[in-house]
Amino acid sequence: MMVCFQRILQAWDRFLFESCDPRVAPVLRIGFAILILIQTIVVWPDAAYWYTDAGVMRAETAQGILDPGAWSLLNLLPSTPWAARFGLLCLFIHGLLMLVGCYSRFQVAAIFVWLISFQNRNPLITDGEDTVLRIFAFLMIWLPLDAYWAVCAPKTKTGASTLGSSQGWALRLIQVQMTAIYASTALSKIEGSTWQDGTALWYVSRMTDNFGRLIPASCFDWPGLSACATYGTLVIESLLPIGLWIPRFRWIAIGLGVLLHLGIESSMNLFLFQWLMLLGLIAFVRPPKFKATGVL
Amino acid sequence: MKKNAIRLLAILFCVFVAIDVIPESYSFASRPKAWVHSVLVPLGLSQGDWPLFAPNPVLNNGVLVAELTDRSGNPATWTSIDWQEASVWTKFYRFRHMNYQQRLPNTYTAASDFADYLLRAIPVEESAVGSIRWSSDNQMLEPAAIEPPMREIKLYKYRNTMVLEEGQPLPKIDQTQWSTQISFLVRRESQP
Repeated sequence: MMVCFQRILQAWDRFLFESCDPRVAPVLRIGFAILILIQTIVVWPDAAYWYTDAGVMRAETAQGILDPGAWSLLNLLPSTPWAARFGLLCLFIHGLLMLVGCYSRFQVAAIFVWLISFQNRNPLITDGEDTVLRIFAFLMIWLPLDAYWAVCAPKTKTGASTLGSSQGWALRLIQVQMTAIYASTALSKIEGSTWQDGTALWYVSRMTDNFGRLIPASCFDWPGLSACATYGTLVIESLLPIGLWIPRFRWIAIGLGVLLHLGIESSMNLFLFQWLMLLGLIAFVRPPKFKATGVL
Repeated sequence: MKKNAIRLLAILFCVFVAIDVIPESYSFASRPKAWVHSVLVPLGLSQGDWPLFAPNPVLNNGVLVAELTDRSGNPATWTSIDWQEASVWTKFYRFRHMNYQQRLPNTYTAASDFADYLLRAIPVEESAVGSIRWSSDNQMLEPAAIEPPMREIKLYKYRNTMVLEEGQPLPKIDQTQWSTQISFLVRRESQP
């Protein structure tokens, strides 16, 4: 019994501490910070509109919509435009400091708190992208974000980095999160009649409010293309949860994921969601010549 | 100690995420999902499942329309952005507005708040146009200028849905017939 437990623990340790390359953490930091800055700038003019009682939703209404236990720092501040803008300004500053690599783990922890606060202050304007941002923020708290390309990068006597594979364990959790998203959506889609008969993307192309960027809806008038795109999406989303975990197929899986998200980005207006998912795929990248040192 | 804490955090995260993202249609998981969700919400880590156009894409094209009555009893109309006509840039920087307008009809309390906001905001922050009026002898009159404050509002969702004939192939985009379904959302009067 004890031997069995030891083996499971060793396998779990290998999975967590010896298989990820923490050198991708600074790349995630920069990409994530840019997305936070864009999001904050876009919402800034509507701060009072979305996040005050004088706007479109009272705090009491938001609390009623949310599940019990949800909280927001904005509920502790006066419901005024300056308070909403103060929160957004904090978010912007934390994002900016994270971008340049100044105590990024603290910055991303603060970003996590502000993201929860804004999302819970007006849940009607949020979507899956906000959920991914929030969860990535939480997981990035545990990564060596300032290891490279950072004003606060740790300096050693030799100038060499002391990064060890054990420091990349939170990358594993980002990988788990990405896998969970693909698996969940694939399982949901398999049940749908339009995904089974190959017409789902024909219907998506008729979502005229969201659809229509580089790929026009008329492309999907041709049933063959519509079926190809539908089944292609389903196959890619079903394969990714497996392919991303098999080293031999990882690059192919990442390539398919990139293709999927760029395809959606070029046809639909979904703000930053596709870019965030592309960022998540970076967690699976393992640059060559990485030697695990196992430092913890 | 530190390593054990990481091990525990990682195991809990993986197990909770795996349960939380199980699709709603898998009824066997509804109880553990509800419990996990209640634990994750206060931590800010709840997510639920990821339908993303599943099990089938739901068409949610349309606009919000408000019928208003001003201080003098003249009718006016406010209409939200018609996303079908909006530019890619508008759809990008006003993406939150699109989310909001698509979800508002599902939540009565939020629709009430929005109606109250329009009562306050028209005509200074939100623009509305005067509607045609009818005289006592049924003659059509030109719209009158809006006189704030607004007295009453009725909010509607105009949803554009496709007319599809059973057994026929799916139509091309320029041959698609659209019909508009009007759903009443809420009626509000301004507070004295």
